[in-house]
Amino acid sequence: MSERNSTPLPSDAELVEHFYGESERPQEIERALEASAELRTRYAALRELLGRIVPPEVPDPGPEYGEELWRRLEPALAQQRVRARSALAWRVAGGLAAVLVLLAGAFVLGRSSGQKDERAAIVAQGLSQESRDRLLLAAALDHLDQAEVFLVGLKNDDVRAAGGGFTLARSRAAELVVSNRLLRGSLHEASGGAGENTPGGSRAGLSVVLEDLEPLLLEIAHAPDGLAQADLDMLRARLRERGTLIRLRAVQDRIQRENSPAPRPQRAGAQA
Amino acid sequence: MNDAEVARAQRGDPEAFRNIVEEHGRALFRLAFRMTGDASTAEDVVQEAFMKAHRNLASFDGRAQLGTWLHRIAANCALDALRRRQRRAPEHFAQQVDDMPPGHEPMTEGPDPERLARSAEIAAAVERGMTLLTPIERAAFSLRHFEGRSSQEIAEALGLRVEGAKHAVFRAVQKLRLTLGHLVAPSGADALEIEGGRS
Repeated sequence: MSERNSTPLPSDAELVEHFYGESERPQEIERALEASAELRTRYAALRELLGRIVPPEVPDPGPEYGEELWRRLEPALAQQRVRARSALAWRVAGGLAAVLVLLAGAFVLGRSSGQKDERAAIVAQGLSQESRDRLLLAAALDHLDQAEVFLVGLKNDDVRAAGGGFTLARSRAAELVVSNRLLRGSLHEASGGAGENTPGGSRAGLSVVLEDLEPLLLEIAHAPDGLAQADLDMLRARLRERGTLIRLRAVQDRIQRENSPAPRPQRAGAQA
Repeated sequence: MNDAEVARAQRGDPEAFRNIVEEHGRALFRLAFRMTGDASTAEDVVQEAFMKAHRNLASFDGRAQLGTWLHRIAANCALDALRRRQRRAPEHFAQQVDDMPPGHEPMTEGPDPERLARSAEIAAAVERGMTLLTPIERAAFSLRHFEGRSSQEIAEALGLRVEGAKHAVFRAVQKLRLTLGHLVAPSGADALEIEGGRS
C-alpha cells in the first residue's frame, strides 16, 4: 500500500501512451488506475475521446486504380530514367562526353560530305577502344531512353493530348530517326562492318531494336498532319504486336546491367 | 512481390516496377487519404511516393519489407503535402458531415435521429479538431491512431526522434480533447474495464 502511495500518478502523456499500448510502466499504471477513482475518470474520458475518433472512410479509387496510376506514372518514370541515366552516363564518361559529340559530328559529316572532320578524327585517335565502346553505349542508352519516352507517349495517346495536333510528335520522330541512323552507323563501324555481330554481350540485340525502331519512327515522321485516329490506333497496335517497347527496355536493361557497377548496399529503409 | 522481381525493378525494368505500383498503390492511397483527409491530395501523394521510390529503389536493400519501405516514403510525402496545404489554406480539412462513415454512428437497433445528430456533431468536431493540428501532429496522430503504427515507426517515417513522435501524438490528443471534450463525456468510469491497450 505504501508502495502505491509512493508511485507518482501517471501524467496525461503517460495515459495516452498506455492507451496505445506503449507505456513504459504498464503494470504500475494499471495499479494506479485501480487505486484512484479520479485517475479512472481521467482515463475513461481519454478512452471515450479516442474511441470516438474513427478513421475517415477511404473512398474506393475503383478497380482500375492500379492500372490508371501506372498510366499516369509511366511517362514521368521514363523521364526520370532518362535523367538518371544521363547523369550516370556523364559520371561514367566524364569529360569524354564532349568527345562523343565530335565523334558523332564526324560521322554525320563523313556520311553527308564524304569527308571526315579533322578535329574529331584527331580526338578519336586519342581514345582507347574501351573508351569508344563506353561512349557508344552511353549514347545508345540515351537514345533508347528518348525513344522509350516517345513510344510511351504514343502508346498512351499523349501525342494528341499534348496539343498541336500531330506536328510535335512528327518532328520528335524525325529527330529520333536521325539519332537512330547515327547509332546504327556507329555500331556498324565499331563492329568493322560485321553488322549485328558487334563485340560485347551488352550490345546484343541493340542493332535489332534500332532496325525495328526506324520504320516506325519514319512512318510517324512522314505522317500527314491530319492523321486519322484509326491510323494512330494501327501504329499503336503495331507497336504492341511487335513488342517494340518491351524489347527496347530489355536491351536498355541489359546494357545497364552489364556496364554499371553493382549498386552499393545501404541500410534498410533509407529515406527517399 | 518476390525478391527477384524487386531486383528486376532495381535494375530499371519498368514492368517489374509496374507490378510494385499495382500491388501497393491502393494501400498507399488508403494511408495517404487517412493522413490528408482528401482524395485528390492522396492521389498526388501516391504518385509522388512512387516517383521517389523509383528514384531511390537502388537504396532498398531488402532488410525491410518493400511495403513498409513504401509506406514510410508515402507517409513522408503526405507530411510534405500537409505542410504545403497548411501554407496555402489552413481550413482545408473541413469535411461534410454527410460524408462521415457509418462507423461514426453508435450501434442502435433502429434509427435514432437524436443520436445520429450527436454522432454527426462529434464527427464534425473531429474534423474541426484535425484542422487545428500542425502537419507533424496530424501525420503522427493519423499514423498512430488510424494506422496503428508504433512511435518508433512514426519517428522513422516522419524523420523524428521517438520522443518527438510521442510528443506529437500527445499534443494532437490534447488539441482534439479541447475541441471534443464538451461532446464526449466519460460513461461511468467505474464500470469501464481498464485495459492496457487500445480499446
